Amino acid sequence: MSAAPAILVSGLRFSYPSPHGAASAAFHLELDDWRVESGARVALHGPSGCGKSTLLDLVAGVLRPSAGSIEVEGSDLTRLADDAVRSHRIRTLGFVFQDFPLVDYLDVLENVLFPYRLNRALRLDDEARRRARDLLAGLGLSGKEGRLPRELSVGERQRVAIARALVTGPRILLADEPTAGLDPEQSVAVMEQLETASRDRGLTLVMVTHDPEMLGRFDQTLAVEGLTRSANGVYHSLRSQ
Amino acid sequence: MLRNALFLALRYLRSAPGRTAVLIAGTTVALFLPLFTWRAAALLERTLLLRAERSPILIGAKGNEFDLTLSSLYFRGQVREPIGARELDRVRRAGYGLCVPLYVAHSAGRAPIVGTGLEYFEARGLEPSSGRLPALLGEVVAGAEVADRMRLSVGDAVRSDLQNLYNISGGYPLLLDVVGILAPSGGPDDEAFFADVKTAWALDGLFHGHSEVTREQAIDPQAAADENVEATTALFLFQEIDDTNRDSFHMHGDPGAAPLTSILVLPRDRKAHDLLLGDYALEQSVQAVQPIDVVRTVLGIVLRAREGLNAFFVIVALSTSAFFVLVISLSLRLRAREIALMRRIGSSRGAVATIVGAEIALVVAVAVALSGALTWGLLAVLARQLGA
Repeated sequence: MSAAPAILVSGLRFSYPSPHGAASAAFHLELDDWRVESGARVALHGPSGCGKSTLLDLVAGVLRPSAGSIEVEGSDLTRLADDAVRSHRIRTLGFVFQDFPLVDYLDVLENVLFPYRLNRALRLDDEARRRARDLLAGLGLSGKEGRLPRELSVGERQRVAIARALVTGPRILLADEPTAGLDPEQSVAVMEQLETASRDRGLTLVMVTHDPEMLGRFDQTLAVEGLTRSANGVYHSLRSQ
Repeated sequence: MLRNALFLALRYLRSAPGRTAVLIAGTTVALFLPLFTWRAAALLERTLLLRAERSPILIGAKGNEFDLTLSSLYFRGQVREPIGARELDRVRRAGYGLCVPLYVAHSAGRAPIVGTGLEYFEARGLEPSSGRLPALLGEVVAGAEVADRMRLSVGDAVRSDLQNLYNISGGYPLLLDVVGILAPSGGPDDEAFFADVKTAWALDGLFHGHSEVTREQAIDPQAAADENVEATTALFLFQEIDDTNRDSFHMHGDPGAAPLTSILVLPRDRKAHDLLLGDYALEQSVQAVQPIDVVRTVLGIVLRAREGLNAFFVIVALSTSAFFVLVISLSLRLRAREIALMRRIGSSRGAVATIVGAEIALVVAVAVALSGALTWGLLAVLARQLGA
């Protein structure tokens, strides 16, 4: 274990506002202490709606906590301005989403390079293109760079989405239920690809999963302990194991 | 970022060609309608005014000022009543300024043949680009456009159009020698033939030539030698004026009664201008018209129609804008997942807005280019029609 953690969360508090007014919260999340070492593989698991994806968004800086601190690769996101958080996210994090969404009107290579088209901080040059082609080749998609997403199988689409998450050279890979809706064989294939990417590149992997069969493949799990109801709404508490 | 936004926008627009085409077509129509109407009205205004300003006064038969102006300035239509050629002598004698006879009653290849004098070319600043101006009976010069259209060059001949097949006492088509081609002037003169006014009268049959009348062809061969000989229809009328018969052409009756459409007068100064108008103010059968006033009246009608159209264009523009906004907002709703993906992998709101803005900008840019090209093309056709 390295001395500098990849993710360090302290006294985190987050609420989604209630549609009935600001005085009450429709959803509330608390996490007092959570530490993820660099290179670790961590699973977030628990029932639907307990806040696993919300926690990923908080770590990514897509959402802002109401209290507490979130340090990612040594930077406290709560102290950074929006632009700096976004810049940090681009440089540090890679995302794999549920359903592996791709952009329908871009071919495979352009889907992988999509982050470069969106962010001023990333430079789309020959080196980036070479990296994208290498990633596709490594994932068995060589020769399919010019195809559109609709011309790909489900498995191929998943691999394109993983290549997109890795192309910017992130240090942390966040995966939001990438095996949801897949049959066991496909789930194992996706998991193995993520593990390989994590191991080969020394990436920290934080993955949300519903599948208890998968938990054994992780170094660390973060589970929802239970539900408590307060005067302000429903509280979900998370506990690190 | 802009380059990447344009790249993504272009890929997106190409992925849905049907919707993109509808958006471009709607925007093009909304831009084209007012643009073309405004430009066309401006062109019409400029063309009509310029010609009218260079034609200070027309003298013609009392009656419709619009017909007189249109036929004399733009060679469109004919006046109901011509004036007699003696009016030309009268106005010349009064010494108001340069007086140019105009007789527009015939055509060749559907281009008007304008019977006039050499003064016309001086007044309009027309010069031949090849050949010379018409000096003799039976000669014409062709305007640049009509020469181009009929592929005419100096030395060719054109036959005047038959006016009335059943009028056996009227004039017959004559073969006219093209002795010059006028340089382009950017006006109605490019679309006409010009000849001496006597040539135009020859087309009427007033000024004519025929084979010599012999006693054998006379109705009364026994008539006394000092009497007029009445010829039969066996008399051969010349259908071409050339060096062998030119001198034989003649006119029967009163030359002062020969018809003119109008007389264009370029007064030598303001005083002559006012005197001429004053002299003709009380005339019973002839009138002096200022074409600029006539054209302004016509333009007043055009401008009022344009104002009415403007309200229509506002409605078209508003409904197109509403349609545009609806399509874009529906499209954004359908693309919510894609936009969420952009945001999660690090795109700012500004970057997303730039991409959507680039899509709109591309559609508008193509629509502007199309409407501009359409407007330009149709204006060129209109300008040719107007002789502008």
